[in-house]
Amino acid sequence: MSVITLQLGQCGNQVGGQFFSTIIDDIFAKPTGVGSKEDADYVKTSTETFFTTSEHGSRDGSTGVPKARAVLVDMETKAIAQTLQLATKSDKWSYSDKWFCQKRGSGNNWAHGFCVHGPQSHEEIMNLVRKEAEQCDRLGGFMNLLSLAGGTGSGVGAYVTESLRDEYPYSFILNQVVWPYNTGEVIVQNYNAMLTLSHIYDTADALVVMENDALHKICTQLLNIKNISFQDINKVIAHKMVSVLQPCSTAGSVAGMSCDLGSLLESLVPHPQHKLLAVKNIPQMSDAAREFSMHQWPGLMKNLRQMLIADSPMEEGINWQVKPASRTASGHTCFNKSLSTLLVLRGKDVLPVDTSMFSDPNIYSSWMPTELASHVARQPRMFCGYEKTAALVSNSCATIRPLNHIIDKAWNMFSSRAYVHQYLKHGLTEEDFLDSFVNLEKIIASYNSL
Amino acid sequence: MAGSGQARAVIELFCKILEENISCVIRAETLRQAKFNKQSATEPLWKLIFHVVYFCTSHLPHSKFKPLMIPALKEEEIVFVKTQLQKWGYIMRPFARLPHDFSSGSRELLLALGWVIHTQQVFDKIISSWSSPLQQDLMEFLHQKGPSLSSESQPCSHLETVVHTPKDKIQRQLLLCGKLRLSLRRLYMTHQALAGLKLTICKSTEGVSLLADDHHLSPLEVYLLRYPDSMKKMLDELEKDNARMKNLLDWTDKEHIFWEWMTSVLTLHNQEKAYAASDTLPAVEEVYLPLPGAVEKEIVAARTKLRDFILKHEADIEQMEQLLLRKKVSDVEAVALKHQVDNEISQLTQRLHDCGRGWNWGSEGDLPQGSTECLTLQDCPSETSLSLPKQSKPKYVVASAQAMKTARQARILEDVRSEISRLEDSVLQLETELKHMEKNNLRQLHALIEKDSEVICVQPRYCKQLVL
Repeated sequence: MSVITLQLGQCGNQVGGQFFSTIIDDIFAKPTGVGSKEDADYVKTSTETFFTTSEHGSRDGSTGVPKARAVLVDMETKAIAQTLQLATKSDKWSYSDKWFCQKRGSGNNWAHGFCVHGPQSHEEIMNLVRKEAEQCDRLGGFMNLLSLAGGTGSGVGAYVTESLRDEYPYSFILNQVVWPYNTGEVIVQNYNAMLTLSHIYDTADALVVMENDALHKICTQLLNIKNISFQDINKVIAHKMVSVLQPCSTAGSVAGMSCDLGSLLESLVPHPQHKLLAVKNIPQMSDAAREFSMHQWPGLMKNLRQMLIADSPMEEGINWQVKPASRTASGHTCFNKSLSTLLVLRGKDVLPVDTSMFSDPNIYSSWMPTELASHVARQPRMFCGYEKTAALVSNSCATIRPLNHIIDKAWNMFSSRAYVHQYLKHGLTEEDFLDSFVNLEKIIASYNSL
Repeated sequence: MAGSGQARAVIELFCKILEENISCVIRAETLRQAKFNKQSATEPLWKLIFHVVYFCTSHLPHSKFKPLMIPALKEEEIVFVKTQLQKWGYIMRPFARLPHDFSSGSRELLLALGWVIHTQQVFDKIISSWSSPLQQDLMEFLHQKGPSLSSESQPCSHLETVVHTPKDKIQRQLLLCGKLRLSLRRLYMTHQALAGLKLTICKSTEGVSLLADDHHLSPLEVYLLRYPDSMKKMLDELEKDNARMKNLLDWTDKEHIFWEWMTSVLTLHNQEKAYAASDTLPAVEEVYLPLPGAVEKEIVAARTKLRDFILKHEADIEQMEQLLLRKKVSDVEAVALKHQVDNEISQLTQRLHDCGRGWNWGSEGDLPQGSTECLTLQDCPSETSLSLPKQSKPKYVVASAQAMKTARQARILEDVRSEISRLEDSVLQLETELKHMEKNNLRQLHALIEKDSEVICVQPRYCKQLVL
C-alpha cells in the first residue's frame, strides 16, 4: 500500500523533508533487534510504501536511491529548494521531479491561498499527483503536511485537500496539521487556522494535530535543546509520524505487517464527527541520553496511559492525580475522555506486553464499545535506535483545547472585523467566516459530548 | 423393462451423483426398500428429499452452493419440504398427511422425490452449472490449501456496552455506519488494486493461453506455473472433476432406466392402494401453504350469509312455486306480487347502478294492468295472462364497465363537438352582424359629414379597409 505525501507550504515542505529523512534513518538504523529476513521484509514494506525504487539498474550495477512518493507545493521557491537540497545531501534518498512553486507567496492570507493560488495552480498540482499515483501498484491514500497559520499551507492546503477528495473520492486522506504558537508572529494565524480547519474537516478523513507549544516543550525538557529551531521541532513531528506509520502488525491481520492507512483510520476515526487525532510518544530523549537509559514495558505503559488521561504531551510533569473517575465539584469529568486509541509498540519483547490498561472502558465514551475503542499494533524491530518505544494515537477531547483557544481569539478579532478586509478582497465573504465559526463550534460540541 | 441388474446400477449412479453434488449420502438399497414401503427407508428419504429441495430453492450458483450438514432432520425441515412441494404444485393428500415421526410413508416419499427431480430439472441444473477447477478464482484455490488464517483470530464478541439514552444509540449507529463506510472504501481500493494486478498479468502473458477462448493466462495459471507443487493439487481436482462429469454423462444415457423403475414403483403403489383399507393415517395438518389466517372465518361467514339469504327468500320461492302449480292468482295477490317484484328489481337496479353496471328497463317489459277479477291462466287471453309473456320480460342490457365508459366518452365528445360548432356559428354570426353595423355606422357618418361641410373627419386607418 503506497502513501503519497503532499508537502504544502513552507512548514509542510520542511516537515516532509524531515519525515522522509527519519524513515531512512529508521531503515538504516542498527541494531534492529530482529533477524535479517524480518529486517528485510520491514525495509521492503517501508520502502514500497513511501518511496519508489528504480527497477532498472544503472551501468555500475546500483539501483539508484529511492525516490520519495511526494509532491511538493509552495508559492515560493525557497522552502522547496532547501528541502530538495536536504534530500540530495543525504545520498540515501531523493525527491522525484514532482514539485510546483511560484514566485510570489500567499502573504499569510488564507483567502489568497484558497481563492487565488489554489484554483490557478489546481491543474498542475493535480497532474503531478496523478503522475505519482500512476506509479503506485496499490494506492493506500494521501498524507498532507501543512501548517494552519500561514497562507499557502493553510489556504492552498485546504484547496488541494478538497481537490484530492473530488479526484479520488474513495482514497484515504490524512492531514497532519501544525498548530501555531499561542504567541505566534502571524497576527491573522487564528483566522487562517479557523478557516483551514473548517474546510478540511469534512474533506479529510483524519487530522493529526501537532501543537508547536507542546513540541517546543518536548525539545526543551526532554531533548535538552538550548536554542530550539524549527528544524528541531520538525524532527519531533517527523519522529511522531514515522513511529505510527512505519510497518507493524495488528491482531487478526492476515497480511503480515503493513503500513495500512485505511486500517489505521478505520480504527481511529470511525465516527464522522470526530476526526482529530493526537500522537504521544514514549520515551523521547536525546541521542546522548539514550545510550544510558533502560526502560521496561510496564513502566512505559503506565506512563503512556497517564499521559493520555491527564492530557500530558510528554512523560515529564504528568499529573498523577487525574483518574478516569475524577469529577469536578460540579460533577463534570476532568480527565481526557477518548473515543478510540491505537497503541503502537516497537522493539524488544514487544509480543507479550500487557496492554489491558488501555482497554479500560472508563477512559472511553460510554457509548463506545470497548472492542472497537482500543487497538494495538506490534513490531519487534527496534525503531530509530530505541530499544523499546511506544506511540499512542488518540481520538480524544484533548484535541479541542487549542481549538477553543483559537476560536476565542479569532472571534474577538472578527467581532471588530479586524483584518477581515484582507480576506474579503480575495473573494471570501463574512458568511464564510461565520460558517467556519459554526462548523468549529459543532466540532467542539461533539467532542464535549464525549 | 430394463433388467433388475441394470436398474440397480442406474440407481447407484443416481445416488452417487446426488452425493457428489448435493452431499447427501443415500444407498441404492434404501431406495429399493422405499419401493416396498419399508419403514427403515423413511428417515433417509426424508433427508434426501430435504437436501434436494434445499438445492432447488438455493439461488446460489453451483460453484458457491454449500450443502447443509445436518445430523438429524427436525420437524421444521419436514414442514419446509411439504410447504415447498405444495407451492410447486404437488398437492397429494397422502404426502401431505405423512407423519413427522418417520413411522411410515417411504414409498410416498420416493414418488415425491421422483416428481421433484423431474419437475425441478435437478439434474439439468447440476449439469449446466458445473464448472472446471481451471476456471475458478485464484483466491478460492489458495484458500483450499489449509486452515484459514481467520480461524486463528478471536471471533468478535458482542458489543456489550450498555447504551442508555437515545442519543447514545444514535452515536453508536453513526459510529458503526462510519466504520462500515471506511471498510467499504478499503474493500473498494483493494478491489481496484486486484483488478490492476490482474490486468498486469493478462498483459504480460498476452498470446499464451490454455483455454481456447482466452488470449492470455489467468492469475491461477500463472500461480501454478510459479509453484509447481500446487500443480498436484490441481491435478487431483481435475481428476475429481472428470469423474463427476463421467457420472453425469452416464446418467444422461441411462436416465430412462431410472424412470422405468419409478413407473414400476407407481404401479405397485396404485395396486396396493386399491386393496388398502380405509385411510388410517393420523390426523396431521394437510395444508402447509401460507394461507391468510382469517380465511377459515371468512369461509364460514360467507356460508352463513348465503344460508341466511336462501332462508330469507325461501318463502318467496315457495310462493312462486305454488303459483305456478295452482296456475291461478287473485288480483290482490297479483298486485302485491307485482309491487314486491318491482321493489326487488328497483333495489337490485340501484345496486347495479352503484357498481357501475347499468341496465335498461324495456317498456314492453312492463307487466300489463291486471283486472280485479280472478283470472286463470287457461281462461285469460294472452294479453291478460299472468303467465309471464315473453314480450313482458324486462329487457335490460348489462353493459360492461368498459363499454359504459366508452359510450359515455363518445357522448361527451359528441356534445362537445356540437357545442363547439354551435359556438362557432354564433361567433360567425356575431362577426357578420358587427361588420354590418360598422358599415352602417360609417355610412351614416359619411352622410353626416357630407351634410355639414364645416365638419372635418379623420378616419381611423382600419375604416379605410371597409368597403362601403
